[in-house]
Amino acid sequence: MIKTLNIEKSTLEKITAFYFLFDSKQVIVEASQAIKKACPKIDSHQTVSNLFQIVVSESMPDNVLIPEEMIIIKYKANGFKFKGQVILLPSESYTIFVGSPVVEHLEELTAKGISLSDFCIHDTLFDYLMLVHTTEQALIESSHFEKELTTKTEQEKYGPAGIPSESPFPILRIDFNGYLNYFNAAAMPIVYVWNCQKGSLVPPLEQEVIQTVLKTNEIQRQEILSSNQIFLLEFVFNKKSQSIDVFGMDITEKRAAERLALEQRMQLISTNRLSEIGKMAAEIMHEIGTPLAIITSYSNQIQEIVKEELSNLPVIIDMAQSIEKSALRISSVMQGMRRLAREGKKDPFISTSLQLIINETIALCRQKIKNHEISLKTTVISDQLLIECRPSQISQVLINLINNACDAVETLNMKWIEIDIKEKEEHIEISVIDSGAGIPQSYRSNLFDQFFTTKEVGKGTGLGLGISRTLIMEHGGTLTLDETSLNTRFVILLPKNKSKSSSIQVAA
Amino acid sequence: MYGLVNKGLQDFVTSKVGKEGWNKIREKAEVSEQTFVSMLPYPDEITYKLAIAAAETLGVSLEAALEGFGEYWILFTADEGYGDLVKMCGNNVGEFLSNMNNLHSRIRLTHPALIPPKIICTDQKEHSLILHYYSNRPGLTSMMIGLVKGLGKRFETPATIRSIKSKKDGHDHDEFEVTY
Repeated sequence: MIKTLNIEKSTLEKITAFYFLFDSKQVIVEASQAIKKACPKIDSHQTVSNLFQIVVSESMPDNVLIPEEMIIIKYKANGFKFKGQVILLPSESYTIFVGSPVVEHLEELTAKGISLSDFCIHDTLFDYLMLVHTTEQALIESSHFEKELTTKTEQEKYGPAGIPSESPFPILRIDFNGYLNYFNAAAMPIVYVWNCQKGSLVPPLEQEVIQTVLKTNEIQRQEILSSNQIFLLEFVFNKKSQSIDVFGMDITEKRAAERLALEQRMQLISTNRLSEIGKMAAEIMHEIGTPLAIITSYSNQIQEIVKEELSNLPVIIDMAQSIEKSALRISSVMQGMRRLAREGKKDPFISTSLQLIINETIALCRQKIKNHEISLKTTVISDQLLIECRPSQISQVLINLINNACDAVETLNMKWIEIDIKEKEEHIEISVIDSGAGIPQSYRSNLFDQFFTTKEVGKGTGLGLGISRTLIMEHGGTLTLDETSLNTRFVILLPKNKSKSSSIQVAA
Repeated sequence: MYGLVNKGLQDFVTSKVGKEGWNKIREKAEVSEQTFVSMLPYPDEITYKLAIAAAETLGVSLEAALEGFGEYWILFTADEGYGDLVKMCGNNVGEFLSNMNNLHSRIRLTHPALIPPKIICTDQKEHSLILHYYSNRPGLTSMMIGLVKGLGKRFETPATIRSIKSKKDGHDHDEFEVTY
């Protein structure tokens, strides 16, 4: 029991852990367990002024006002500080100091043997110190991870021992004037291609790269082909050694994989094309069959007329014109078939009449359109409107779009397809519109994926739109779905002159 | 559990079987994480899977593996930068155990996903106490036993722990007599 306060000591220590009492002569009469740990001599009936020095603040600037009640005291023996207040007790015979340690780290407390049980449950000083400690630990761990990552990256470049000569990757060092100062064993194929040795100048192209690195202070990359390997070289400015370090990576397998992927893609395009030819074969046979029948019939009739009625020339001319027209029709179909059957990928980009491509494409689709009783409308354009393209590929795309449109409208009451062509300054916009009500929202995001189809099994390969977009992109153009249109509308935007035009940028 | 626990387990097992051994255990447990972030919470399942795979590799029971880990935990946390925090918990086994609830509740301020066990000390005498251990996580009682043994090592005093009541016998918590 602390008689001066009429309170149990253990109870007071639950209210405030760090306190001491002193009398009117400033002699200390009582101190808490916790404060005794920090200030071991506090119990020896010494005066406050002998044990403590009152400091306003050593760290706070002068212009910061400290409340009158707050003081900072320093234990002279070890410099341990407390921030608190002095309260004159009602009896006025005793005064009490209550406060908190002025510390920034847990170790300042543990060094004095102060433990968690010395703190009152409600004291947040320990929580604050915990927060500081946890933050510091997180930073240490983060720095550790960073170091680990750096080491790993270094190891990848320089080998496990950090020695360039042991690295499995090519490493070269070139001075700012372009002289090769160092290369490791893995860099031999590169040095061979450069046809230089230690101390000699690297080739002019590499010298230019070095100058670019020096000017821009940015990493420059270059690919180099040795007898059977492809290397990607990174030219990096090394401030420490005042040189350009070159790190190589063998990308032969990567390039081979890319080539394989390209070949597979071309194979898909080819498959799609053959699939379209197959689908149209029967319809084309009919398309050719009708004019052939006309030709045969009229030829027979002409022979008969010539035999019997030589003078009936107008009839003969009329029939001969029909024969010519039918033959031209067959020729157009055959021309279209020949275009479509071509691989196309190796064709040069040639200036071609867009009207001719459209006509030939329609000739190939006419029978299907007719069979489904679909009305077809096309914009009349000049024969002189030329486009630099691979005609077979543009034709393939249009057939894909028209066939899709046919399939979409065949069950509708209103069946029409429109091919709308608009000439713009540098581009040509070809829209294939059908009487359908558009593509459902849920299908739109993967509409152009390969193998995506909404058609029933066996009817669609799913290659059409994905392949079509790829082919149009290869022409520097875009193929998009017009989501604002009331009907289904696919829009092809093509540069008139591919070689002069940059690719069209459209948000996907 | 927080990543620090998994890191501790990794450190403990690596000290027994080496890095290669740990990687095999990780593969066996089908745990893809190669490294753990101390302050990040991970599903308990990861810790259990690793502990089970480690016990199998070490050729001991899961209880023995967890007890060994509990013993190691105190030493590990001290080494891992939490030495002052461990010191703050007390200067002897009894004080340390009595402060654990207090410590856990304060740790929760910076680790809000922490689900600590409840540890209550009663009948405290100079060199003994009764420890009441409440945990919703199955099988971690062995870790508590190891932890008391680890504290004995830390304070260089032989500590013993004897089960008085067990959840296995239908009690709502485990009860131990701890002497030190």
